[in-house]
Amino acid sequence: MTKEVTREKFTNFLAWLSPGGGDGGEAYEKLRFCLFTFFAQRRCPFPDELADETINRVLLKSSEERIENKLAYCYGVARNVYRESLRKDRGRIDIEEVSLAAREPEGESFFGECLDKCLAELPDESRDLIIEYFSEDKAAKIDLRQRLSDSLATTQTALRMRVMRIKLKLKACIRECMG
Amino acid sequence: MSEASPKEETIREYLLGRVADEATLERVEELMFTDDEFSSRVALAEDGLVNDFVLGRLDERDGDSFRATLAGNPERRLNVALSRALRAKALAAAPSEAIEESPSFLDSLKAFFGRPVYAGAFAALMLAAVGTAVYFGRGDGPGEMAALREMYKQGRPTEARIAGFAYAPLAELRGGPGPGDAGRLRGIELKLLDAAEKSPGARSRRELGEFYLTQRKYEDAAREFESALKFDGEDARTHSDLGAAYFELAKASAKERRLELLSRSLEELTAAARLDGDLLEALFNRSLVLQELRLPREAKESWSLYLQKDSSSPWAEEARRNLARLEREQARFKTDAQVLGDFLAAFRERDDARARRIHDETKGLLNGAAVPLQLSRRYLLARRRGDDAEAAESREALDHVGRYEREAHSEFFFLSWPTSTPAPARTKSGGC
Repeated sequence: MTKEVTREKFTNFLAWLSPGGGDGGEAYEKLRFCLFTFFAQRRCPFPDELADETINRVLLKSSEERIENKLAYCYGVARNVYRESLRKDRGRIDIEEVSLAAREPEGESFFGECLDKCLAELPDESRDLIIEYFSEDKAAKIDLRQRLSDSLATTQTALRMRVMRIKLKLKACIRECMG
Repeated sequence: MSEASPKEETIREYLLGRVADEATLERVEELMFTDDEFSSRVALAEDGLVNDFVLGRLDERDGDSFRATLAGNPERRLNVALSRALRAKALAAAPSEAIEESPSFLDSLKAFFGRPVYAGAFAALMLAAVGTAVYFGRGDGPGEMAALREMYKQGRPTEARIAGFAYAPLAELRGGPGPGDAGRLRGIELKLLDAAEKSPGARSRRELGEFYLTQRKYEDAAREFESALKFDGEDARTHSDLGAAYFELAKASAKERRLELLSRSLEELTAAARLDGDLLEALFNRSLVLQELRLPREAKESWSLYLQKDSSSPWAEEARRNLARLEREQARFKTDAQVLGDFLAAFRERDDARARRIHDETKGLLNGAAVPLQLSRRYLLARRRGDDAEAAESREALDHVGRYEREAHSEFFFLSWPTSTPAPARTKSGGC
């Protein structure tokens, strides 16, 4: 058996993550968020790469043997990847100490363009909500969030959840738009 | 579960990178992986932290901790960039609505003097104002500021407008005070410092801030303006100058700090525009900030709004140049098909001005976006398909561009189109 991540193995991995027939994509995003946060909070220089490395190892292992407590297992693999990265990092130069003369890539202009495009793709209600959420006027001393949650007849936590979900959609759309 | 789940405060400390105790760290991590509800709470706290940072709700300590995490966390940086852009969009929309709704100064004046009781009160107020001006005119402050403005009337020191300073082109190397003026500047600074010490208040602090702004000491300027706002938080002019100081500071800063400072600048300039919708300095600076934040649509709207309030001053000329540059840049970021689609839409609606503007914006690009090049390709493909209508329209549009070039620029290049053969003739330059 090859130790290579194939499309088929990835599809099986999504099914493995969500065996009840639920949305494997959502479970995958959740796992990736946990892994990324774990490595970032441990101040690893490349948290996204380490998160991907962990997922690859779990993915290959899950196709070979039965794993009972899946997420606890993922955490265990993440800890191993973290310890290995510490050993590897000893020989590396801290990127923060290197000043780069190169210009920043011209991504900002595209960011603005892409944001406009992605906002336009949102339903009107979501677009209005996210813009209004960020229009908070400190001087006006009105608790905008309270007013918004009242008008939507929802709790403040539910409002924050909605804002977070809209932002997640926007981020995914912007990533795609920026290639 | 035997142990209680960590409180929100612990989650926040964890996300701010301030949990040093390994046992607590592991407990949070383990729960994040194994407890679905806890994981959702972490995700929500993460998003809330980003929003609070962008909305200026974090105190200094939390703000510093948060900033320290940004370098190693690309996901968080993207989230911050997104929230900042959303905040900028919300701010850009808010004052525009307020300014457009507000009556013009002249209308307000007419309404005011239409009521006799106000006219009488105004006369009394004018007498009092003249008396106050004569009294305070003896002091050093206004005289020093007049001298300072005089020194910068040939070349202004900052791209952003300083409130009360007349127009002068931006002084990159020349135009500002010469080396011989160092003594005068030092004298002005000492008098302003003295005034700020003897009679600390909004005005003395603001004037000192304006002095530092002319000297490109932006941190000092911002500090003085912030101090002035503690005396009078409703002074639109000080908010505008503080926004100018943050803007100039931003331009000299590294990327992450730059975006943060630009956001703060936009906050101040929006506050200034809300307080006084006719304060041209604030409207001008706000357009500059939106442009620097790379929000072309909002920047264009903001420049247009500025030009509604001031259409004839030399500042308006700069505003027009900025607007034209934005339009050129936007054209560069459009796909070729978008450029052609926009051109043809304008052509079909007989909106000659717009069609010509799109052509002008792209003709220097010498790539696939150039309208005549695209029209030629469209014509040939239509001919190949046998689509006579599309070929005729392309041809007509190309003729339109040719006539415009001949009339406006005496340029015959675009008229060298063949009249009888389907394939394009060799152009004057000999290219294909």
